[in-house]
Amino acid sequence: MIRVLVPLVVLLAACTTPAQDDARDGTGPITFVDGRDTTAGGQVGKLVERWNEQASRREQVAFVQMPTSTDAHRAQLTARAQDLEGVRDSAECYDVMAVDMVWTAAFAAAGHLEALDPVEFDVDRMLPEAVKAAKSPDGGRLWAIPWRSDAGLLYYRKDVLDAVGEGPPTTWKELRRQASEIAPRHNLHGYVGQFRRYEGLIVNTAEAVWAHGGDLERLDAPETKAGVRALADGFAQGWIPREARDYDEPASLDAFRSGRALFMRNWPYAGPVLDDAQESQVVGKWARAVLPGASALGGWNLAVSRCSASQKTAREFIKFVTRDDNQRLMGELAGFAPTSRALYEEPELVAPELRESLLNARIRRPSPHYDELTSLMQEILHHVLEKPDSVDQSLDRLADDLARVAEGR
Amino acid sequence: MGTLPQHALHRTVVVVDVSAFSQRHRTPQEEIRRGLYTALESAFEDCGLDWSATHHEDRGDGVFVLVPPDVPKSRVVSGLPHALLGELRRYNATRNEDARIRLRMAITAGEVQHDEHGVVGDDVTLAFRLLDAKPLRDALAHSTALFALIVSQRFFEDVIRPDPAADPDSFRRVDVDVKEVHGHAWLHVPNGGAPVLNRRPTRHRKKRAKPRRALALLMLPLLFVGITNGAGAAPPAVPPCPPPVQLNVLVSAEKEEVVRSLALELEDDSGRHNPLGCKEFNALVFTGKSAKAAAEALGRGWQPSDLTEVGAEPHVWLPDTTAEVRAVKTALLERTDVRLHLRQGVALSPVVLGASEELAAQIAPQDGEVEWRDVTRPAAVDTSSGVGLAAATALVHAELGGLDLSRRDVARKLHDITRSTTTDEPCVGGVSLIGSEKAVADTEGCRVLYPRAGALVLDHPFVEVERPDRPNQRRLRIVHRFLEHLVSARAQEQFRRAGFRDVAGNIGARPGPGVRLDQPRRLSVEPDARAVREAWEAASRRRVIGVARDGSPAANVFANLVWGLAGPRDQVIDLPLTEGVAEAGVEQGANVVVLVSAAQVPPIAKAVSGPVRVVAVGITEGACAASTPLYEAAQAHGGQCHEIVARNGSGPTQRQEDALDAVARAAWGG
Repeated sequence: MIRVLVPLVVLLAACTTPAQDDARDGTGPITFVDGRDTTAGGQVGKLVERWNEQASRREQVAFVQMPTSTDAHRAQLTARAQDLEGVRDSAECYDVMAVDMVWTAAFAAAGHLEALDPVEFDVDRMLPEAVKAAKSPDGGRLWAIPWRSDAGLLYYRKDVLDAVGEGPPTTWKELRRQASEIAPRHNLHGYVGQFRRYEGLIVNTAEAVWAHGGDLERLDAPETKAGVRALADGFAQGWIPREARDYDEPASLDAFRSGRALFMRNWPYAGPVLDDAQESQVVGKWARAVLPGASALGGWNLAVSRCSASQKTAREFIKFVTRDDNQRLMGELAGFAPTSRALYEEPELVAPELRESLLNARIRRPSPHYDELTSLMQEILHHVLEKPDSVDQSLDRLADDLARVAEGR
Repeated sequence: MGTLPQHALHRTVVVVDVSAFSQRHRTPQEEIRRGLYTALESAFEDCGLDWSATHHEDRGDGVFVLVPPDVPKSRVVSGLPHALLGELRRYNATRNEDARIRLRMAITAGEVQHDEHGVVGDDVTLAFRLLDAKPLRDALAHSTALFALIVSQRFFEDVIRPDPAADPDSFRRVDVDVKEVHGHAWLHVPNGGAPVLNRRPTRHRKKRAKPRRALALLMLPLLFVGITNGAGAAPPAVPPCPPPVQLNVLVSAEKEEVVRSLALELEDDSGRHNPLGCKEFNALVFTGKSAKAAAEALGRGWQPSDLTEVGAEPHVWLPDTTAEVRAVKTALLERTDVRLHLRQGVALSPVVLGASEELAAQIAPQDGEVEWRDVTRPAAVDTSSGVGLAAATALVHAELGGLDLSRRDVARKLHDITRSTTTDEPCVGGVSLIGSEKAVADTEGCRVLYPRAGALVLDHPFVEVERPDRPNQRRLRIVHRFLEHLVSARAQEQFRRAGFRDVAGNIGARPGPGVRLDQPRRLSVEPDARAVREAWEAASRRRVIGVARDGSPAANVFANLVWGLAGPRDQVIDLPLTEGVAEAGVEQGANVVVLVSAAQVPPIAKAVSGPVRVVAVGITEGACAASTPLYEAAQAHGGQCHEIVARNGSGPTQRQEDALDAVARAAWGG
């Protein structure tokens, strides 16, 4: 009804009026928000300090950290942006926001972000998939600048594979064989990953599906079904333990760290934890390799809020943060995987397996309704993993439901 | 309305919508609304239909009407459009253009069910879909007609085609493609003949200021999609959904589960009941770190550091008690950026005692009521939650006979209670549990007992958190809907099922052991949440007390009494009564040093390497005179000097008690 159109009209007005020039060229103090700075020594805070040291007194950046839980982080950004719709001079505007790459499309569609010029930020130097995820689905507009990226790796018990004279698997078939044959002989679970009902489940499923030639955007395709079925069969045959249905990253890490699993899919942060002799029983026994198939690309982008009155400063700050030298520094000090391709050519900045994983990583489907899509998929997939027989039927139905959700209904 | 859905009835569904309503200024909007109702009402009456017998709902820019099942459908369709046209003409004739009314109208019929959320039925949904159908919008936009009517294929087949009075020839078939509705419907534009759908727009341009506006409005969403979804996306048949409003709900741990489920339910419903099927909001339901942390964050306006420590800024706060709200309101008096609006409660829960069956048989043998003095080993109370705060309040109130926390004996009395609490498992043997009726009934082995003196009642208020600097009307509407939802019959049933009492005090169908059907006697107190929390926490602290005495019999007696103050977690140590006694206390971890002497003591060194309080007790006349070493030592370390010799009026016992109160204040006072 027409009532519903009003917000659209407001949004539209904001979309079509090229951002008022005052704000677009505006300079002044800005607020930068990112997730909680858990890096050793607070490296994000220090990066902001470095900006503040070299910037003019008028263009100082205040760093605000968001709630730890991703849901709360997103809720805070969304609510604040909604409060300041159509407002340009509020000191409460989050001028520069770090947004999860899978939120970017939704924030842009809601009218919270300013479009950015790809040339100004020289995004051609960056990982193409990361840039793609920061653009509108048709590639027409750039809504954010990729800052840090992440990709999954296969952690394995090198001691066990060495003992039987084998190397890490490069295909799912091989993974399945090793997990189902070698692991039981050593009293180990075959494979653990993140299969709890949350975003991690989507990531793990997408990777299995890609490895089988499918795609979560074609749920009813035989290849996609084969990928989902591979996981469901793993649970049914027991080489993926039942309890992994409740695993998130820390829980799966715990299973591997305490010497209970032959293989684990996890993010790069797991490495240092596995080397911690206090906590880990597999120090010196593990190694890691690329996944037997593409990894899902994770990562965070930097965006300029539409409410910002000092967008020039905001853009300059983003340029500063995403500059190659600062990305290198954050790679060294904070362990952030860079988005600049050139840095992947530098030896020792990024481990070779991570480099390979990142350069081949794929994105999850960007959508303004990513949230709804993913929560519906999580529900069905979590159910399907327990019932291999229902894969066909459930995925067909899911495909229909997703088409509805994709419209925001 | 009851909680049980009524039987489905076959009814005629009429929905109307004022064209371009929200583009108008406020005054005409109100005028139009009045006019619309008058016209509808009169039109209904004109064709012999009783408006007051219909079920009608205001939709802001339109009205949704259910015609009673006993009214023949043909009467609706043969009479109503004609009557409505007359009424609209009459109304419009006396209005300037801004306040004139043009309507879109859709009619369907089918099984319709009522539940406490309103009306549900496929044909209701269909009516709203049809109302949004492009041919209907176009019909109005491309003509000067005062209204356009669309009816479903089935309604046309069943009602209109067989009835010449309904003028079936004035309807034409159109293709409809709105959401799940793909097929045909029938369109009627009064005032003669079919609408000028294919006519080129140039011809009537001058006359069509308003239709053009409506058309422009229709185009906007398409444009929007073009921008956001990119050129590749096919233009949808319905406008895209506006992004859902973000609603952050801060809730007490006690209610978290039931409130989360109710919020999600409303969130899903918002899509089902929205005419376009758009989900209207996303809810984040969270508890913050604790009720105490949440209240403190609210009280300081939710600073950036609270985002990481407590969570996202809340728009709704659902604490356990109004006492917590009062405390935050007091803290906010000096701020202008956050305002709290205390609305009604959404549930009730009395604070009760839980006991094992054998303990219950001892302390409440007859009627399930208990005296507080018989409660000897309560499980530890954590005042960081609202429930814990209320439990502490109940105990404090019972011990002090009121809530005057400024009394000099408060620290000692509160410490007496807190030292009796235990971390042993509640409702096993003699260990009791003080908590909400819900939590106690949920705890294994607990029988619910009610305090004879009356129970404090958690009133679970709904609090709107307003930020005057950045008002958000869209969200405010959702906040109000959320409150309506929480007090709706269905939600109240869920609260009961979760073990709460509903706002009327009723319990659920399967109450826990000992839970009373009727409402327990109520103890009405208005605790100062912050003061109670502070006093309780201070009284619960583990303290090390150093006692230095001169060996005289009177000093030994007093030292023994100090030993008696300590609880199982506290520690009392002996210190030598020498010049360096204060520092010796600090070195041994004492929080309080008590000096007890019947004789002159040496001057006590004032310099110490850590915080310590000194309480001095002199057992001779004049021992606490200014400039005596006892007096000086107490002065230097935040304590007092007490003489406990008999003097006129008050005997040594009272003075002894006063001195012990002072020691307790130094150890367990705020």
